[in-house]
Amino acid sequence: MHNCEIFVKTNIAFTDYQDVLAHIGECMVKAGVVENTYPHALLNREAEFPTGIQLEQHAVAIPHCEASHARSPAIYLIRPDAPVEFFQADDEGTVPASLIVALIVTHPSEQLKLLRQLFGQLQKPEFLEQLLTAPEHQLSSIFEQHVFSQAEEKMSPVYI
Amino acid sequence: MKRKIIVACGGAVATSTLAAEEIKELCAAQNIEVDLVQCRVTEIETYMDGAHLICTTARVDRKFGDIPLVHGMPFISGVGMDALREQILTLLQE
Repeated sequence: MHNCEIFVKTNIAFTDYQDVLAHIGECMVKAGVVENTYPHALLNREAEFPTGIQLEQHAVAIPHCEASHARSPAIYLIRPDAPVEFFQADDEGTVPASLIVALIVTHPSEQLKLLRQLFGQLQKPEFLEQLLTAPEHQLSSIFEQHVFSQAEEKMSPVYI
Repeated sequence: MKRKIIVACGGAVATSTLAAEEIKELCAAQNIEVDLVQCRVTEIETYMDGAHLICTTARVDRKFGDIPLVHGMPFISGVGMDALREQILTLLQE
């Protein structure tokens, strides 16, 4: 996942998951990493294939959509003030996502290594705990250490 | 006997590839020969002929005849992974 940008955001409140998706869409369009079709595609994809995942101690959501709406690879990490209910990926019902990891993927097969690393790390309670408690300015370096260093990929942190 | 397994995901981020790798490893360790087919959940019907198992990382609300369906999300989340491995082996050995 070459030149994958990391965006981070904390201290933000949402009314519901659609509010989260709208925010992601707007920010990613503004950042220039996605096409104008992305916000709509993101909403549609989540409606059809929800992305809430219950991990051991916390729940996360990994909203994403087809690669055709992406211009360049990016990850947008959002830690909302309060958990947001997302529909579960593999079950009925919702989970309270305390972390939202939006994946902007241009070439799924090329970026598989990074995704494997990301999902592997998210399974570790201590990594998630760090992401949930660390100050905003440290988030991208924590992410880099755990996800990118092993994936041997280049990244550049961006704050918005 | 060779087992045909379909691994399907929603199609955007290749979570099915991650699940497929886990299943491949699991079956190799148990000397179960497998024929793995990877597709999107919308394409399962196209490949289901002769399949012994379907594993999806996205929710599907429909049935595929007598072919057992398991949820592969534990391979992504890590929660319930051992139970899922057991379940898959049991289904494949029946």
